[in-house]
Amino acid sequence: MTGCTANQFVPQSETALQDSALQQALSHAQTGFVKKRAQAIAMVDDFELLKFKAQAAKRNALSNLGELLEQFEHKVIESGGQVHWAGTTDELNACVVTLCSEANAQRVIKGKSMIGEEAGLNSAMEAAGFELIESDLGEYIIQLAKEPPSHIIAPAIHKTRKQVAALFKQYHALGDRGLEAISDLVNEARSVLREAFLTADVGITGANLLVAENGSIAIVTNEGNGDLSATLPRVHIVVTSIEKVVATMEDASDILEVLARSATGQHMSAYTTFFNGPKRERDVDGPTEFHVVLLDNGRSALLDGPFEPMLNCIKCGACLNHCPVYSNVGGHAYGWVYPGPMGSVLTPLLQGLDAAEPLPNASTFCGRCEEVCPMGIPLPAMLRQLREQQHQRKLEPFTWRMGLSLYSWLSTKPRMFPYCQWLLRVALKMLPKRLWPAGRKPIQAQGNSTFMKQWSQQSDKRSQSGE
Amino acid sequence: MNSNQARSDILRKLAGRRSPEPTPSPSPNEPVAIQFSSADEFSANIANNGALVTFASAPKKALQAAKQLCMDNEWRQPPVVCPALQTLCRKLRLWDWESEREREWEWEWESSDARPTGTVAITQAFCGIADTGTVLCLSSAGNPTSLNFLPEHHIVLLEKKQIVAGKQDAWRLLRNAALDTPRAINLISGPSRTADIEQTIQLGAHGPRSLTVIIVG
Ligand code: SF4
Repeated sequence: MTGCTANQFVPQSETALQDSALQQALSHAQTGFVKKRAQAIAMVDDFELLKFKAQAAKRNALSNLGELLEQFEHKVIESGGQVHWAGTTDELNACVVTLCSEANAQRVIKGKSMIGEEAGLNSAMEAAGFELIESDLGEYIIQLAKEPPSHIIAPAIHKTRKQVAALFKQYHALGDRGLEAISDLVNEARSVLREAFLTADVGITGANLLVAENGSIAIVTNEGNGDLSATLPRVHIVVTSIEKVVATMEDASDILEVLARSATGQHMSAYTTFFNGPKRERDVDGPTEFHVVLLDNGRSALLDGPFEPMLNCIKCGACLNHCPVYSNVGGHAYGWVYPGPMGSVLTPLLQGLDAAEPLPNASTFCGRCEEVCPMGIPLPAMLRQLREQQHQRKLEPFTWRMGLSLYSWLSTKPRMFPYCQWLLRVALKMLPKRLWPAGRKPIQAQGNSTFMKQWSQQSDKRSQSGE
Repeated sequence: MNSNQARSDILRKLAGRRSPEPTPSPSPNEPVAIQFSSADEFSANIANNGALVTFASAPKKALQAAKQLCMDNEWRQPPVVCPALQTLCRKLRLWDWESEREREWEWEWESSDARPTGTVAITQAFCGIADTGTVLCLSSAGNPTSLNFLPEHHIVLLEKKQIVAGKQDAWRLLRNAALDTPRAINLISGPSRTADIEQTIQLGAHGPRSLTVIIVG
């Protein structure tokens, strides 16, 4: 499993805020995603209706999950493929390694997969002696940089073009060349990776959706790397998780209607493909083996509980793009594979609350994540529930608990409260500037009177006017 | 690791859960008949996705238009034509298939590790989806999937009468055609692209740098 450093969220955020290259990269990113999504949604007649349909398809699927998975398995086998089940990420890794060994594979080409990230599949494959090459451009870049992804749909969003050029020069022995333009970088990656596609023995991809009625798996990409990974090598292995199954092609397309629009602001990504089994008898291309590995890793335990809605997540990334915290600290600060609001909920659920203590608090509760989530996931409410659980299990730091108890006691003392506030204000003003941590400063007081003063003045007025 | 053990564990956890709630239908009056759409709406939307669109009255004319496109763009190598269109293409003698130099760009379909290395591929679509500007291609012996992804430039022929309004109509059309589920159903909505470096859109990431749809009929 990929190491989780979510407990270091605060120091990791401090580092991120000081990192000027990261801040520059983040500033490009957020505005682009946010603007494009808004434009795409403005162009459809009734986005609320599309959301409603997508959520209905998912609700339907989750309430029949067991039956649908069995139907899916049956259909995959019928079309000549195989289904493998993994309770834990270790089981998933072991299964993929075995499949690759049985196929006598050396070189493995991989499409983007968050389940692969969750399982730490790359290191397991490398430890087992396979050469594994990521084919999504963003994933390829961070593979070279030996870093985890920092965004669920744009894994290398934290890298600037200069940093990418430096990596390519270090790892591609292609002599002296100009790599200033983004097109130079993309073309170089295209030709290096084309060679990898043509020589790989196994292709590993994720799946955006699984369709029970015919045993198809859907892959959505813009680059076309998923399709090449699934078509050229002689073995195709799909690593995915149990909550991705839906009943029908119709249900799958209801979800596709909101996916690309929420993710990249496209009506459809360039390529959405439904793959079904290995190559047919008369086909001239396609893999001869088709495997699907289904991962649970704690998901089944979320069903029927307060966090079940998290299983609706289609990993579109909209909540990340609209999050004021994510926009400032980037993905790595969150310390595991899922960042932003969805990560702040999912990481404690999958890794344990004690392994991700700061995450439920990494939110301003502004509510934008819930507003933009196409699957209607109440992210703030779930963060609040996690905070409550933390409090009950006494997981917060001692000073935090003390502060909270002090505050709740004080807020029941209406006379003492304003007095203590005044004391605090004076104390803060007198505090020497150098005592503030680097990069932080007190917020300048706005207006010339306090809230409490204004409130009592207004309530005087209110009582005068007889309201 | 035991996949069977994991399977029964997972299915046991999922069994005997609450009974499924009926899913409310938001629009009970949704028509079940296939809605077809105009070529205009389709072409406007797919052009918006970065594809080129041209029109031809018949398959023969479409292949001639493809030849013209190759000449205009100076794509000199003869295209890789999907097996389904090869007979027609040869009959029209559009490219000099006999010349030795050019024949090397043909895919040797018989040999399993032969790869099409040509610049251009010409394939057929099953239908078009107007509302998102998408062509739907089915993999088969006559239309191998690789041709949709390996070439530098992809030209795809689409019959005008096969343009439907939305994805749901496309599934109905597919069900009506009563084909076996093909290995791959490709919904293609423009040329290959990436925005992985500084959020700047760059065409031709791993797949074709350009997509041209020739609407036939
Ligand atoms: S929680 Fe919602 S907005 Fe965030 S990634 Fe999942 S589906 Fe998208």
